[in-house]
Order: sequence, then structure tokens, then C-alpha cells
Amino acid sequence: MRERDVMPESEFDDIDALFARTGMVNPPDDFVRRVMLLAKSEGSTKQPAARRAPILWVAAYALALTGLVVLAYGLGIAFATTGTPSLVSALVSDSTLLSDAPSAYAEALLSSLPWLHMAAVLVDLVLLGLITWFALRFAASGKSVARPTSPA
Amino acid sequence: VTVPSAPSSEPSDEDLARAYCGGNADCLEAIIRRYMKPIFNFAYRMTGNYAEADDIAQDVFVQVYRALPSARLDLPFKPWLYVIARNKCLDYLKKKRALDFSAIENPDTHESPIDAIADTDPLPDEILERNDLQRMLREAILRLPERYRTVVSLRYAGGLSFGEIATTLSLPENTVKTHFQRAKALLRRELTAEL
Repeated sequence: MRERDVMPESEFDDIDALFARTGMVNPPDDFVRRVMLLAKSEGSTKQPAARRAPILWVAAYALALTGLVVLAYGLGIAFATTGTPSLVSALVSDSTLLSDAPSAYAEALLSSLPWLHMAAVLVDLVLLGLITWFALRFAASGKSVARPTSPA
Repeated sequence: VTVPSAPSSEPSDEDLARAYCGGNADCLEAIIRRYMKPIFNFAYRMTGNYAEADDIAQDVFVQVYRALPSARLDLPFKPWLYVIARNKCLDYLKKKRALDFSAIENPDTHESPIDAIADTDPLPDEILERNDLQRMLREAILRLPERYRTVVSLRYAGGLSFGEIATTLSLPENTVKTHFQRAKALLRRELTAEL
């Protein structure tokens, strides 16, 4: 191995000589093997989790989407059976209904709405949005591994 | 004072780091083999304890394994490595200070690392003399303020240039040189008093 002088920027003095005389200590013989084992064990525990993560996101997304389809269908059925469409069609055919008895019409409309179904669809939509947001962030962080960042 | 450095025919640190990030796992081992001794000695100078230096050096390379894939490969590798090493040493010293105010170990009870000193069959009296020097130097370094100790350790154990030390510590190069000269003066005073 080529050796290079580490003191070219200052004059060699007694302290430098002392350090040169005392030499350097050697790490234990098994040092490299231990570090490599640690690194490999860490890698083997990290990688499966990293591989599993996209599958989990896809599964959660598919579940939320399926839930949305089912809940939206349920909401449609609920709308059809609670009389909301007839109230709306009555308003379309007679627009004076709203001006003559607005509070009565609003009360009837509000009581006919399937609130529970609507809330379930809303919750599912929020879930879907959150999963999409997290999945996109996860995908972006996966890409950034290859992108340079500041030294740790 | 000389330290081994990579022959020009060997790949540079940055080449090894890039190759490792490109999927060549063997390059990590090459990096460890290249730097284990200076990093180990840096940690040893900072802590004065062989076992702690072993733990710290091990942690440093595990951290390199973790951080290298997201590190900036266009910047010099060596100062980056020593930033990690320095931070690990400071963490250790902080923890040790919190646990035990007698942070500086008793040199009389400390197991000497004489067996680990790199050497080619020295004579027994040379070993004894050097052991004494090692002990005195270790104690004198441990009595230095942390900033001086870091500069001295980076310079002598790590073999870093003043420019590299300045990058590692985020200090102007002239400040590093001043710290170094001041540290040497303090060491000289300590050692003269002891001798």
C-alpha cells in the first residue's frame, strides 16, 4: 500500500513524533465479520417489510374501493325506498312548493334522506383519500432512496 | 506520521460507495476494511477505552450501511464518514457523562490495548515504554476540551487533512488549524508535567 504523509500542512514536531511512536491500535480480528453480520441481519429484517408495504397499500386501497362500491349501491337503494326521489320530482313539477311551504318541504326532505348510508359513504371516501395520500407518499419516499440527500 | 491510503490503482471511496449503492454488496466490506483502523483509532482517542471504541466503530459502519443509499454520492466520502464517527463518539460521551461523572476511566485498572498495537515484533522494553507513552498520551488527550480532542483525533487517528477536518466539523480551516496548534500546546504542557 502506498503511504502518504499526513503532516504536510504543518511542521513535524515533538507531539507528532510522540503520536508516531505510540502507533495505532488494531481493531479486533473479527471486526469486519461482526459488522457485516450486523448489516446483513438488519438488511434481512428490513427488506421483507419494505417488500410487504406496497402489497398492504394495494390491499387497503382495493378494500376501501370495494367498500365504496357496496356502500354507494346501498345508498342508491336507500334513496329509492325512502321517498326522496318523489319529493324531488314533486318539486320539479311544481316549483311553487318551495315558496309556499319551504319549512315543511325542507323538513320532509331532510327526514327522507338516508343519513346513515350517506355518512358511511362519506367515511369510506375519506378513508380512500387518506390511503391514496399515504400510498403516494410511500411511493415518493421509495423513489427518493436513489435521490441524493445531505450527508447524515 | 503516516497512514495508509488507497493506492491510485484501487477504486476511490466515492467509487466504492457508488458501486455499493448500485448493488455491489462487496464494496461495503471494502469500505469497512479500508477505514476500520482509522475509525477505530479515532473512537479510541475520543473515548480512551478499547471496548467502547469497538462498539462505536461497529455502530459507525452499521450507520454507513443504513445511510449510504440515501447519501449524496457527489460529495467527498471521507468527511461524511467522520461526521458519523464524531456524532457517535459525542453521543457516547454524552450518555457516559449522564451515567457516570467519573467518565475518564482509571488507567490503572484499564486493560491495556498493548496487544492490539500494530507492530512487528518489538523488544519487551520497547513495548513497556510504548505502553507508558500510550497511557500518558491517552490520558492527556482525554483531558483536552472536546473540540480540541476531536481535531487531534481526526488528525492523528483519522489522518485527515485540515481541509477535511474543516468539512467534517463545519468550521473554517483556519479555526481548525488554530484548534490543532492549541491542542498540541495543551498536550505538550500535560505531558511535560507528567514526565
